[in-house]
Order: sequence, then structure tokens, then C-alpha cells
Amino acid sequence: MKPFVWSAAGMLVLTVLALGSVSTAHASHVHVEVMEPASAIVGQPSQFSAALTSADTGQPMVGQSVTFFAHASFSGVEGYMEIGRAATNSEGIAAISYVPRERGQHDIRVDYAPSAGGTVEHATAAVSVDGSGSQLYVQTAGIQVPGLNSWLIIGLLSVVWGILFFVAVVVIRIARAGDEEPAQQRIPATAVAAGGTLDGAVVAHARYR
Amino acid sequence: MGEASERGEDVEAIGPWRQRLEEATLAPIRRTTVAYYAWVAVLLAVIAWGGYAYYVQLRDGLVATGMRDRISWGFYISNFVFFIGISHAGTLISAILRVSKAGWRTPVTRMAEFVTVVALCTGALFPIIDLGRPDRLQNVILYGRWQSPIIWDVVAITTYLTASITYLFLPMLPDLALFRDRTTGLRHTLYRVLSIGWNGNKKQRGLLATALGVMMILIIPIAVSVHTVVSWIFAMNLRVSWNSTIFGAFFVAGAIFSGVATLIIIMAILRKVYHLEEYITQKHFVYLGYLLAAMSLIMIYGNLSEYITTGYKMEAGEEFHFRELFLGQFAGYWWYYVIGGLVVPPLLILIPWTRTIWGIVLAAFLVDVAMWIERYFIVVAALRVPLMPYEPSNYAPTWVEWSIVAASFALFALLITVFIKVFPILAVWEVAEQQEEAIAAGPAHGLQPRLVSQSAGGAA
Amino acid sequence: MRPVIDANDDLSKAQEQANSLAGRRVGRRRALKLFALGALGAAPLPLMPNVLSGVLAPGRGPTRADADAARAPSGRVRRWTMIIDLRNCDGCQSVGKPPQCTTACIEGHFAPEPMEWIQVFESELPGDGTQFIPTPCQQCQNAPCTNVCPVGATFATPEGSILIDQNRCIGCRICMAACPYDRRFFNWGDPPVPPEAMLAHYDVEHQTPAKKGTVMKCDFCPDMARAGVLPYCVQACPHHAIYYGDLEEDVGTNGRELISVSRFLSEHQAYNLKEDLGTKPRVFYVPGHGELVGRDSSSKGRLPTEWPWVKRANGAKTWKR
Repeated sequence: MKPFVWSAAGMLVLTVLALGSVSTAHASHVHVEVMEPASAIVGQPSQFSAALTSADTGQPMVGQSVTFFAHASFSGVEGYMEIGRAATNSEGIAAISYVPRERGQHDIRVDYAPSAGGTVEHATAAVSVDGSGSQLYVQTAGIQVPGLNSWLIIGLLSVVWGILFFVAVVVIRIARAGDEEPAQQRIPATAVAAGGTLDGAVVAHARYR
Repeated sequence: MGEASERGEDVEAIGPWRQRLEEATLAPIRRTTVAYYAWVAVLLAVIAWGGYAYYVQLRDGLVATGMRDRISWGFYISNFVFFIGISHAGTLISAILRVSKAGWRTPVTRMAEFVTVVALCTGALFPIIDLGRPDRLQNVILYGRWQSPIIWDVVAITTYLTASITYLFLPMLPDLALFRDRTTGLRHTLYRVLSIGWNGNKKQRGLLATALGVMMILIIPIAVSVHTVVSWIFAMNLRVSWNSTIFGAFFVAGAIFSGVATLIIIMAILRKVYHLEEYITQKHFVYLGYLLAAMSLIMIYGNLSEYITTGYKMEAGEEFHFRELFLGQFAGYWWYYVIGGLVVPPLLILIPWTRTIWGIVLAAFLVDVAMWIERYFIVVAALRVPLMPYEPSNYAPTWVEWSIVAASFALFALLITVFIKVFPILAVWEVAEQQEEAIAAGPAHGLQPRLVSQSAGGAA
Repeated sequence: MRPVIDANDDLSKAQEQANSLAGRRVGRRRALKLFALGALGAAPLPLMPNVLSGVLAPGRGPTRADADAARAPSGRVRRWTMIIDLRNCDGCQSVGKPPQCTTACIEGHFAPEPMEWIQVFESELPGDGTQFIPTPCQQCQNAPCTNVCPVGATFATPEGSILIDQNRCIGCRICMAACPYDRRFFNWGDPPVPPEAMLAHYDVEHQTPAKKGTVMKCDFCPDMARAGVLPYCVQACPHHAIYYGDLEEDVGTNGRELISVSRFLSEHQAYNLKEDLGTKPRVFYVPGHGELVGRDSSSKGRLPTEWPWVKRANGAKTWKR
């Protein structure tokens, strides 16, 4: 950690000296440090923090906005993508919660852009992320109610078609029953005259009933 | 008559009324006029022209129609819904009135059942005609998904068609046997096969009663489900005016409405052509007219529910739709539907002066036209509502669509025309049974017979 | 055949015989047999894909098998998403051409005229201004089109994209009635065929050549995305307004810079089109009207889309939308 801090500070000092003639009151005295999270697992939120200290006074800088980036590569484009922004607290530490999505070594970069203008200070750190293989992004549509599925349709149809098959069987039995003799009954003409009230009344036991 | 006595039947025991009834039923199959052949020729010509139009559509693709990406359904789907709708006539008359033991239905049941089967056959063609790839129709069976409204349609219509054919055939058995016994030659063979050995013995009658009892109850929920799932090809989509919960009930009511109207028209035509005035009387028209009026009130209620609730709120898209329907492109269709289809017909029926057979037939005709128009604007006006910021598209059916729709009406008419020539037009045994029961109830009931000296049964 | 009753026979015995044949009630066992028959009749082949999945059509159905899915280096399946930053979209007014995203998609996929798989709509803003909204297929997670397809020709992949199998589509167009975003297009006639497509092998991830009587739409360029190449529209946008990303690895790019997708969505108050319909689209929009590339909201109109490649397909017939 220590050599890293010193080299970062050194870089900052050099940058500041180079620009010293141009800028006025700005962050030439800011020291940015990225702190690794305790553990980082794919799919689990992790705390990524950065500490801002003033190079002049050595005091932590409070209430300053810091932006976090992660290095990524996608579809042939490589670079840093913004993953969060936070303000430093009373101890000069800004922290975001970030859910890493990929295993392996990640470069996390922290940018501090002074409000008055001037150069943006960076610091990077490599973070190692362990991972699980299960899908993180799951999106479902609709609700699953046990029993409310297409089997209901199939069941209903089975009942209806079963009844239709029953009727088909009855039709076949009608056909078979045709082997029996019809009920032949002759009514004498006098009974017709007596029983019928209208001319042309239908006889009760006509053959084709 | 001579044929019958040759068969040595109990002709003397069958009264003159019954004889006339049988003759009236047999007459259509005995004689065929030139007018009949001319009519069939005209219908075949229209169907042939429709066939040519479909060939053009197969050759060029659906670009031969007026449908495009934005209004992607048109004449074919609205015609499909219309024909499936009319098929509910049979169920209402045959099944519901049988369950409720309404005796007056008996002369009408056969025609109602004809219309049902024919309308289903005609209507079921249209989703196929509308397909972009009819050569892949087998995919519906091989890869069909239970979750799709189209599959529900396929299943429901197949089930209903099977049930309707059964329900047409069963009560027809005794009449087919009558035909068997009164014809010779090829026709005799046909009826012998069709009547499957019916000879009216007690066991057969018992079995028939069982089968009819089961079917009349089963077919009612099947019919209700059919037009409900047909409505759901619209209601399962997120479109203005389709995204409604009452579509199922609304469409079933509309189906029965248009079915009764079609039945009245067919009945009037057949009664005139085959001289069935003795059996299909003014009373039948009046009762069917009352049914029509009752259904129109239900339709008015349904329309009010639908349009007042959506019109009051005027969600995005609804305002456009309402403007089109009430004031814009579809105004002519909409106002004819409301006034000509929903208001005038019940008035014609309920006002005593217009409650004549021809008044009722006119009402039925107005209703049928209105219901076809309603199916049209349900499909097209909804699809016209823009989904994103673009100019609304227009739909203009081409000659291909007109021809195929005309051919479908011709096919409908042709199938009924052919049915008349082959199958008994009246349910003889049911009418006779009903007449007996009516006479037993008293001399004022039942169909009043004509004077014995008049002969029944015209020729056609 | 009528039973012959001999004069010598006992009539009562014949009667008995007749009675035993007829009039038996349908017993419970028989009823069960009938219901089973009914089930057989009622559960026809549509069940078969469920039962024989993988045999009839491997990886077919409303979702495709994970085996072919595009994966991140970690091995997890990608979940593609697109974010369109409307602050950078000016309908290509500043470029002086028709919208380049649409043009690139048309040329890259040989989309037949008049199909605009990604279409730039100009939408009115409150207060007389307008904004441009490039609209690809929204790749809904509760896709109405996928829900209604009778044959499963349109289906969701593990990556969350919605694809169409033009070899299975029967052209019923209920999916077109279902889509609330006007993103599905039909081949009404013989679509123009690019000369290059004569040798192309049709694949569900590469809809060329177009087939008559079937539906087509934006597919999120799945074959390219799997290979790590950005879709045509993303590459072509001159202002880099379109980001393509993976919700699983939470990274995306517009070709120039990288973003953390989840953070970008929150920080810029991203929204979905017609969110209240519950379709759960995978395409997000950052509100804007091209202000970051110098467009004023009162600057209306864009150039009409063109289909240059169609001119190369000799004698091609097209139709209007």
C-alpha cells in the first residue's frame, strides 16, 4: 500500500507543478486513495470506498463529490464505466455500494473533480472478485398458480369429447337395435273416430314415431 | 301414396293431417323445377368466381387484398365472426327451446339445425382463407399452443361442428326412415344407409331420447363457448375497443341475435318456396320475432355498457375511436347499426301494425345487415386507431375480398339449397308429436289443419 | 340381420335374448373408457411438442433451449437490452439524411420496403415541440405477440429477445393485432430478394431471404450480438444515441463509451414506452429531444426513409404500410 500511495502522491505533485502557473485555487493539494472492499463476490453488493485528503494539510476533505468507475470491455469497446458517485463524509471517505457482475480482476478508478474547476484527480485499484455461476438477472412475467394451466383446457375437452363419444355409442346401439321388430299395432277405424276430436287427428301409434 | 301401399304399411291408420305433413316433407326431394337448377347454377357461378379470386390471392399473396400492416385484418375475419355468429340459431331454437319444452319450435328446428351446420362450415373456412401461408395449416395441429386464442377457436369450432352435426342427425333419424320407406332406387339406398336401421321400436326410441337429452344439454355450453372464444381473438389483444372484459357475453348475445334473424329469413324463404304455410305459421314468426326483440334489448344494453363506460372516461386512443365511429369514417355504418339494427327492428316487432310476417322478415333482414356491419367495424375501426405517432391508415377491400365474401354467401345458400333436396325439411315426427299433445290439450291448440279437400305439398 | 324366430322356438327365450343385448346401462367402467377415448380425441397433436419436446423440433416452442444462448465470459447467459438516449437523437436532422439507424438496419438485413424494423417516430411534446423516438421491437418480457401465436412461431430466447421462425409462421397475423407498438411487419406479397440472399441460408437469427406470407421484425441482431458485434442501428447512429447492453453483466455501450446499464437507467430516469400495458419491454428511453446534439424542440420533420437495396432487386414489388 505504502509505495503505491507515495507514487500516487508523487504523480499528483508533478501534475500540480506542471500546471501551477495556469490554475489558481484548485485541488493541487488533494490526495485520493481507493480502498479495496473486504470481499467482493459476484452478485453481492460490496462497499467500494475512496479517501480524499488534502495534500497541504493532511486533513481529510469533507463533503466532496467523488465518482467511481469500473473498467469493462463489451462488444469491442474497452474503457471505464461509471458505477457510482458519493460525497465524502467527516472522515473524508466516500463510499458506494456496488454489485460486481464479473469475476476476476477489476480496475476501479476514482475521480475527484474539484468544484472550482481544474484537473480531475484519479486513482485506481485492482479488485479481485470471486464469483458464482448462477444467473443474476431474472425477469418473469405473470404468476404461477398451481393447477391453473393448459391441463384445465385439456381436461374440459376430454369431458366434452367423452360425452360426444358416449352419444356416438348410443347411435351405434340404435343401429344395432334396428334388428328388432317394430312395435306393430293396428287401431280399428272406429277408435280413430271416437278418439280423435278433429278431422285429421293423428293416430296415437303410428309407425314412425 | 301408391308406393307406400306397395310397402304394405298401415296407411289407413295414419290420418290425413299426418299424410299431408309427410307429403309436404317429401315433396322437395320428389320434384325439382327448372327454377331450382337455375338458382343452383347462379350460386355455382358466384362460387366459381370466388374460387378464381382465391387463386389470385394464392398466386400473388395477400397483397391482392386491401389489408396492410396497420389494418391487418379486414373482410375475412369479420365475415368469419359473422358466420360463426349465425350458427347459434340452431342451438337456441333446437336446444334451449327443447330444454324449456317450448312446443311451437317443432316445425322450425330442422331448418335451424341446417343453418347451424352450414354456417359453421362456411365460417370455418375464413381463418384459412385469411392465412398468409395456408400451405402450413398442419402446423396448427403439429405445433399448436393451448395458450393461443386461435387454437381455442379451432378446438371450439371443431367441437361445435361435431356436436351440431350429431344434433342435426339424431332427430332426423325417424324422418330419414320415413324417406327410406317412401323412395326407391339410389335415394332409397342413401336413406337406408343414413337411417341406420331405424324402425321406431321401443328400444330405439328410448336410446334416441337418451342421446337427444344428453346433446340438448351439452350443446348449449359448447355454443356459448364457441362465440366466447371467437370474441377472445379480439379481447386478448391490447387494442382500443378490443381491450374489454364484456366481449364474451356481448358476442354471444350478438350471435344469437344474428342467428335468430337469419333463421327468420331462411324460414320465410323456404316456407314460401315449399308451401309450408300450414306448419310454419304466423305464430312462429311472431314468437321468433319476440325472441329477436328480446335479443335486441340485450344488445342495446351491451352496447350501452360498452360505450358509456369507455366514452365517459375517454382514455388515450378512445377519443380517436369514438370520433371515427360516431362522427367520422365509420359514422354511416355505426348509425345504421344502432338505428337500423337495434332500434327499428324491435319497434317493427312490438308495434302490432307491423307485426306481420313480412314486417318481421324485414326486421330480421335489417338486423342481419346491421350485424355484418358491426363485425366489420369492430375489426377495422379498432385496427385503425394509431398505436404510435403516425397517420392512421385506411382499409379498402379489393375485388378479391368482395368476391370471396360473396362466394361465401353463395356457398351458404347453396349448401342449404342442396340440403333441402336431400334431407327432410321438417321434423315430421316432432311436429306430429307436438300436434298430438296440443290436440290433447284442447281443440284450440296445435296447428290448425287445412280443409281435407286441399292437397298439401307443393313442388319445387 | 334380423334374428330368425323359428316357429319351434320359445318366444320368451327370444325375448330374453333381445333384452340382454339391449338396455344395459353404461356402467362406470364403460364411462371411464369413454372419457379416456374423449381425452385421446381431445388432446390431439398440440400436446405432442410438450411430450416429445426436442424430437419434433429441437429447441422450439415459446422459449428456445439455453444451449445456443449468447454468453458472457463468465459463462452466464446474456440478457440483451437497448437504451436509447433521446437527448442525443435529432432524427438525423444535423446529418441531412434519413435516420441512419433505420437505413443501416434496412441495408444490413435487407428489410423489404416498406418495413422499418427500427422506425423513428416524431412525437409531439407538451407545448408545441417534438421529439424523435427511434422505435425498434421492444423485446417485451411479457410479449403479447408471443402469448397469442397459435403455432409458437414467435418465441422468446433465453437472452430475452423475441424471434420469429419464418418457416413455421402460418401468417394468421394475430401477433400483429397484439403488438401495441406497431413493430411487426407482414410480407403481403413476394418480398424483394437481395441478390446476395440467393445463396444465403435462412436462419431464425438472420431473417434473409424474407418469405411471402410471414411476419418479420427487429430481432436485436442476435447473431451479431453473440459474436460481440453491435447491431446495425447502434453502429450507424452518428450521435451514438443508442446503447446496447447486457443486463446480466450490467454493461453496455454505444460504440464509443461504456456504461453500467442499471446505473445509467436510474441516473437518467429511463422509461419504457407504454409502460402501463405491462409488456415489460427491454428497450429503455432517456427522455430528451436531441438537445445534446444541438436540436431545438421546435425544429420539426425528418427526411423520409429509403430502401436503396430494393432498387438492386430487379422487378421487386412492394406495398404500402
